[in-house]
Amino acid sequence: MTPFDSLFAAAQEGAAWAWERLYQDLSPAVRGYLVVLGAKDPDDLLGEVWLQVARNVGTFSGDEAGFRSWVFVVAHHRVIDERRRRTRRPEIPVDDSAPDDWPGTTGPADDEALAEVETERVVRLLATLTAEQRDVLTLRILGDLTVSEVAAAMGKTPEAVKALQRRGLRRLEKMVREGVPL
Amino acid sequence: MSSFVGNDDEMVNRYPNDEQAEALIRGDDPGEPESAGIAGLVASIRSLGDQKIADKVAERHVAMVVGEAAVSPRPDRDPVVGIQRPRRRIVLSTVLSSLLAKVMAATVALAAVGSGVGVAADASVPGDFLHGLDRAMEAVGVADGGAAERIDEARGLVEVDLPAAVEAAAEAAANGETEAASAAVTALETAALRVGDGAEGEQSALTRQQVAAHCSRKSQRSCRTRTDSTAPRSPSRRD
Repeated sequence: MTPFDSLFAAAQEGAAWAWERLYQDLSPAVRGYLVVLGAKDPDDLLGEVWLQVARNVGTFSGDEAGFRSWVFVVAHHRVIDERRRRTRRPEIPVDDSAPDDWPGTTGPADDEALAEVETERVVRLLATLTAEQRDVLTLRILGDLTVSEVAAAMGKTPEAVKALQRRGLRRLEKMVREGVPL
Repeated sequence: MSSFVGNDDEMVNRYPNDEQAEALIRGDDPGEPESAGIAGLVASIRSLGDQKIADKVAERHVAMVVGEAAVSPRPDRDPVVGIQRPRRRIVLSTVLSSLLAKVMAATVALAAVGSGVGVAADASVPGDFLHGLDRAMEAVGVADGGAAERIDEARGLVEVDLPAAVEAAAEAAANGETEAASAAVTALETAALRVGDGAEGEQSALTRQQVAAHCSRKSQRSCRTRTDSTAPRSPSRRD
């Protein structure tokens, strides 16, 4: 039994310490994923993701990588649900005031302010991609999902995922290289 | 080495190819002139996953999750998990149980009258809404032995997941291929829609949405093979 197996078994038994560990291990990346994809309230959505995980925890079996993948797939579906609810709004809000509206980050220290500026830049760059290109790149980079896992999550073939990945990176490379103002 | 020119979706053999893309995503430096800017951007994307969650938010989430996990079904202690029913459906059926119970009762009456099929009383007590459901199901089951299996399934689901029970009954009708079965299901859907229209506010909308989703699935003949989009899956082999 691996350390993760023990941790997960404790979580299944409802041990608070185990859930805290799982949450602390994965939540920053999941929240980053939600932010990049333009979640209106990433903290609320993060809570919904974990509630869904807790509800279905009895049905999961797998290793640590599989658990991470599963959590991100749940997050991905939550994002899609939110997109559907917000069909009349832009998928990615690029409002200048957006960073100030993001709750959950810690205090207004200088380095954090700089991080928020960088976050905004990243969000703006990713907003130039198609939704599918953005989904693929963020699931792969932030979620650490494999091509096969992303394909399964998005209902596409691995080849299609690779194509979306290539095109997304090419577009970003062009934006960065040409210094396109955002 | 190639440069970026023109429409990237139409050109081939340009940076990054699949191998270079994988290297970028892994965080490796492809060591090519084109990679400098994009590698930095990928690193910035990855760094978004390092931002700390506010303590208050984390505490609230963990408390919610622990509470939820404590009541979540598990295969080793709760056999109902084995049928992989999404919890949200159970919650939904709880909210709508009163309303849908009336739907089912109305359906039974409509089915019996509309189809002209005789009905038989079962173990349930007259007056109980399950009694009405039993009668409708038996009316369908008499027509086709294969449908009986779906009917039994529907019976088992009624108390925990009423919409799923409706679907199972619908599939029984489809398998039965009898006018009686079809009439029962048609009546069921009609009654559900009527009651849904008669309700008010979110409950009405929810009911219509539920019934519409059910009808859509039924029309696609995928009632029994559907899966929930958020249901967990076992991890696949890493690439």
